[in-house]
Amino acid sequence: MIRTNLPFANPHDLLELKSPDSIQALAGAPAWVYESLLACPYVVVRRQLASGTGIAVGVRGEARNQRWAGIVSPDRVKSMVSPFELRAGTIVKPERLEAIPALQHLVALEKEWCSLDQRWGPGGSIGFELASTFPAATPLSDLDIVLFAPVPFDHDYAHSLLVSVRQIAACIDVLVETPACAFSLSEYADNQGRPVLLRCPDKPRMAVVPWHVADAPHLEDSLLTEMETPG
Amino acid sequence: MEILNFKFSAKNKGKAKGRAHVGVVGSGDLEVLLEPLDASSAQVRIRTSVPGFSEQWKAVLDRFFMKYDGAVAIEINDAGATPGVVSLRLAQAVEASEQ
Repeated sequence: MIRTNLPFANPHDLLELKSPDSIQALAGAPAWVYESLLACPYVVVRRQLASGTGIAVGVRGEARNQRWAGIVSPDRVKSMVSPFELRAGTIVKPERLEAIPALQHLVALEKEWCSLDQRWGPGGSIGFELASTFPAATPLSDLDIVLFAPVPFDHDYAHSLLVSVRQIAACIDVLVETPACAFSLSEYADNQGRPVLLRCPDKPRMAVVPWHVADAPHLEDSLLTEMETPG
Repeated sequence: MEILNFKFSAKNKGKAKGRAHVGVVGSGDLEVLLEPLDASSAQVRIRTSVPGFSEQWKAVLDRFFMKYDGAVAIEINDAGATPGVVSLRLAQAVEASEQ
């Protein structure tokens, strides 16, 4: 399941580093960054265009506010796994399944979405735990799902997906990834004809049809101030 | 969970025509509820799942209220949105409140 070649890295992909110091400019990072990588040398690919050949990645700390944005060179990556390759039903240990409701929700969703047209899988702390086996999830973790949709689907289909998710749990958050950006499944399902927020590599924008990023109208630019996003 | 409160001077009472509700509480996103306020100020209350970013919130809101002078009450439920997403959602809420 784990690939060792590195054709492309997409947002949410999890990279296993060759060593904890594989990240560039680690010397300027807070102390917890190295400690986290020492405990678990995995990073998540960020939605940001990296300079040159480097891959923009995020390092997870123990606390919610411990997230560090870094760059890793592809030759420092030992292996890579995408969310759609991760399944709880086959990987997770019984004691973790019992302790973490979000893992139980994932097992339920695996049954519900076993023949879905789109590829999908867990992101966030659940995806991180399944990829690395490091116990990153907690009993309070939400289940973040990434749904890959290269082909557009309409609001009715989005709504049917949302209904199947909601009957498992309210705290499941589905992010739809198109080739150009990402958006919230629930926002799209509930906002027929109105713009939804698109997360793009350069900056967020709004669009009625999420797959038509190039046509995205800009909200009053006077109210928007571009800022550096820490991620 | 952390709760932050901010207050800004805002003279324009009729700017927001009605209530607005935009956004979603999902990872990296936020929900913004905006309503007109009969006062000469704007109030912002933030509930965020990611503590420790009070200064960044203040910077985003300072910039927003440099250009927006509506007397409004804004409630934000945040799940770790970036400043760019916060600014866009605020602009979206303003637009919705003026329709």
